[in-house]
Amino acid sequence: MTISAVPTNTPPALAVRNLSKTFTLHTQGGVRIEAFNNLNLEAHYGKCLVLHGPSGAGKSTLLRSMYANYKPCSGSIVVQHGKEVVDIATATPREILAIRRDTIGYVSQFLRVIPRVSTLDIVAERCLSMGEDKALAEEKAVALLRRLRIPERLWRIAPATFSGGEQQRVNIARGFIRSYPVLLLDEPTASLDATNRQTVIELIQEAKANGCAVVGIFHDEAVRHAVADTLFQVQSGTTNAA
Amino acid sequence: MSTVSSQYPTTMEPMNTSTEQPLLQVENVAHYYGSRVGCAKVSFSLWPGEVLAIVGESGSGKSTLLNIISGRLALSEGSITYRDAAGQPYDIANLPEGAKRRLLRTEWGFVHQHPRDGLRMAVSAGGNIGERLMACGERHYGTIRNAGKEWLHRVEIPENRLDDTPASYSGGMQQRLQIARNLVSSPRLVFMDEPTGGLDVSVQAKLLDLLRHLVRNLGLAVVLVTHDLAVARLLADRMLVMHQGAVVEAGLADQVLDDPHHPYTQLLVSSILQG
Repeated sequence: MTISAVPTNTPPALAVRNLSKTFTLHTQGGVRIEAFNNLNLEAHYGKCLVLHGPSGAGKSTLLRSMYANYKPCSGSIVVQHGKEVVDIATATPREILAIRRDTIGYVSQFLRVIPRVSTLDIVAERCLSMGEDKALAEEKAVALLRRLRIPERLWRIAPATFSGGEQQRVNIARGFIRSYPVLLLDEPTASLDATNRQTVIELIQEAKANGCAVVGIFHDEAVRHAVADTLFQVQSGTTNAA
Repeated sequence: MSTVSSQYPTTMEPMNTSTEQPLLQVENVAHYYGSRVGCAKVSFSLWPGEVLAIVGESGSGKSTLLNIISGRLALSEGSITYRDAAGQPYDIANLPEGAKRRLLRTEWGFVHQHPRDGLRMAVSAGGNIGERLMACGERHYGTIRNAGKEWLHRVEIPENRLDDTPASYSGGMQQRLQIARNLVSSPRLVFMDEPTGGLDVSVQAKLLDLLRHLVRNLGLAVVLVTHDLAVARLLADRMLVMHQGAVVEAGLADQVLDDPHHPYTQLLVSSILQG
């Protein structure tokens, strides 16, 4: 593990400032659960920041907040979106949609299955939504599916019936088909075998070499070793940077 | 060079600003059924190409809201502004009936929960699709018939059913025909009231996938009323949660569903059965 000093000359791709998140469960007697409190971190272009900590420490909550999937209670998440600097915590839904289209990519642990849509179309979709040519998008999708060892006979089938590992690889192909300035990864290697895990490591390293700022959660120590530049310890309640 | 650069901005600018304006602006609207509140204090903006879902249990005011903003029910309070393709604003509450009807058959579409409310059951499928084109000024029989064929194909109905009446169609086919009838005139804004409501699950999935495709490819703006949160997640960019006539939570669809804040939204989300 190499822990690099935070570079100060370039502005961060994404910066989290004084971020706090507490869940209030109204249906369960108003129980309040603190995910994290007053948290600060920066993600830089071409580097990989790994969120680290025990299960339930709030890593996924933090990552989901960066994608505006969760709403933090206070603090800011500032991202460089094109020429603008936008605070995700207070941006309008319309701005968030634009940020998700152009700036931040997200690969979750699970593939949310869309009925009837073929694997190839699911993977190609994000290129098409950018207005890319259909043939070119499919070519890229095919290359990635091949690289991630999804058998060709499955490409035209909707992934609902695929195994867990196959679904996850489809999900990874979907996230890596185009380059985002910021890429958020929530345990992308959780149910993969060693060969496919190695492919994902290579994909992450290529994204970094392309200047992408990667923020990820990796429980697998080998993966963490291979891709991490900075380790950020997330602990429920108190948090500090490594 | 200097003439070109001085010419272009003036011709480009009106176009840019019109795409940067919301298509529909709803401000503080309310409708009262006598002393009973149908819905109240609802405000939102809808932008071109955006899909907004209005969710909530039955009786929460979803359909009342949809009927107000589509000009089908009178406003008790507030204002609704629609901007057409040229950027021209329309005050929906005070629009003359003729202008309202013209909007409804050209720039707008309305997909009813029950297809028989939106179709002419005694007229052929081709006639149902063609009627809207004729209302938009199309007169050439061949063009109308070809558009009918093309749209049957797009909503996955066999072409040889073009001359059959919708009465002979299954429920799922009727609903797809209603969608074709609405989309044939290339509307910019479509209102949908529980479009998958009365259909069985397999037909629902097919229709949802079809809607998702059409909405993406045509860049439609949609206001969708549904009590089915899975439908909202699949189709919508944004969501309004209604409870007892008021909007209790609003935001990105996935954010509202994954991190609900209001007690009612939490109850709604926690009631989804895990497949």
